[in-house]
Amino acid sequence: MAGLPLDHIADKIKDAVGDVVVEVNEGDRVPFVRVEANAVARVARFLRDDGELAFDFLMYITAVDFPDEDKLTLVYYYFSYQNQQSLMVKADVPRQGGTARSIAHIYAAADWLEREVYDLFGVTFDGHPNLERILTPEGFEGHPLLKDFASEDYVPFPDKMPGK
Amino acid sequence: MATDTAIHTQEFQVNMGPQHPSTHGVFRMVLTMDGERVVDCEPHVGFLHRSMEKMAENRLYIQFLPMADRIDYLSSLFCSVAHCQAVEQLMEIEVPPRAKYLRTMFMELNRIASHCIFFGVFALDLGAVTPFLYGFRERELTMDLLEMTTGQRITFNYPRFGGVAADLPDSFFAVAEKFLKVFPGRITDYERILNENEIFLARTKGVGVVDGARAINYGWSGPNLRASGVNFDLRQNMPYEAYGELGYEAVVLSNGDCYDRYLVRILEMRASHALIKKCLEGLPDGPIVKEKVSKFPKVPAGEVYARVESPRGDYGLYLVSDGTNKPYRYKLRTPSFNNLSMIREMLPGVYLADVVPIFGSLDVILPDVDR
Repeated sequence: MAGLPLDHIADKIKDAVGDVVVEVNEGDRVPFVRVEANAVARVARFLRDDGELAFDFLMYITAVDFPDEDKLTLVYYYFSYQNQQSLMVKADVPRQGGTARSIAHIYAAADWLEREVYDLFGVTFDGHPNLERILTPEGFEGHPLLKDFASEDYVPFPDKMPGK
Repeated sequence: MATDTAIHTQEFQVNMGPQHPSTHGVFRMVLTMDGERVVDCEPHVGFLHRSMEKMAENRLYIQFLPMADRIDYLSSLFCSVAHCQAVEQLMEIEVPPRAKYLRTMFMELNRIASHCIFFGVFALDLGAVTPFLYGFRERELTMDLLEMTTGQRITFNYPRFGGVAADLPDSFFAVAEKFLKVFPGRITDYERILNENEIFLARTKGVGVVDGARAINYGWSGPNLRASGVNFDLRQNMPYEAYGELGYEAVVLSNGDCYDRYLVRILEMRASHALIKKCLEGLPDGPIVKEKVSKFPKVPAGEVYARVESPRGDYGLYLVSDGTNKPYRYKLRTPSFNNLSMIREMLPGVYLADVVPIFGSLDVILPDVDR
């Protein structure tokens, strides 16, 4: 993809935010930068505010569950209208009690996106104005997109099922 | 005993939805009102959550293909094309040119169908019944064309890994020609009925204004973003399928109000009409599906992001494969979710009567929000 080289972006992050870049991966199709989990908000602010990078558009936040490695990978996907370029930033958090700094005050889009990640994966976001479940019903327990959540065993509204 | 004679106002709450006809699905807003003015809005989504992502991760790629159509059933083709694109990119399958053209043409037909519904329903929300009938009349024509080829009218299940399911029947061309002939006049009818309608203008001009920077910050995309003056359309900026060869110029307006969000979609219908015409004229011969592609593929390990311009905006699929025949992670980036998230900030300060046009002009569809 055209645009700024990934190494250049990683170097700029290092200069501005500090030594938080864990991995720079050109990848086959989706190049990404892996940063430390405690730095996602500082990286996000830098990516948006830097005049050359200008990643002003947060496309989505999600997570990928790796139970074998006991980690969740948070995925932030940014896009820059100025450079017509996208950038994926990843950060690893533990599966239980994983937490990251909220970026809802930097990207308004992150408000709902972080609620979704919290709802489906159980990652909490410090400083989020209203971190509540968004997609699952009230009173729902568990985080459905974790690999050990078995959808076969799940019964919606068990007290409202006939015969119960 | 002194009595308090001063006049006090008291805020009260109005519950709108989930089963409100103007919420386009099931969407609930708790509006705090001061008289006729909205003070605060508390949106609730998730009533239509069907755990699409979890289901995809528990199914074969081919099994999820017909289900992908259900993510956004008004523009179902876009969802299944994105699904196929992601698999094709990971498997490094080159789609034959004829299949690319067929996908492009039917996606544009699907876009017209979706925008026709927007036109009808948006006007109906404002109290005009005739446009609703007009919109559904022309949608019927596009549905007929899609049905002739795919056998379905709403959820088409048309694309396949490496191509499409069926070629055009011989009878298609005459019907398509008739459609192409009448449709521009019908759009003119649309414009004549609403564009300068006094009531319509009063209720949409200058209502719900959003500038480009704020739209981007909230992750808006598609016609809503282009109505706020941002010149970005994936068909123009990052062409896929046959858009690169056909060429496309995005429709961009600048006021960012409900009226411009309406007008962008009307103008896009004309642009889609031109694209369909070009597709039919330049339709290449050849196979419609790549040979020797397994129907039950084992997709090589890797990550991919497939991105298409759906009628609602920037639709994306982030697919992580671990080399098996099921997706490891299937993240849907649905445009309506981000488009709707601004509603909380858009509503405070407007009249209750303006809530309906503002919400309607976003053209969100709740299955696309809730997934």
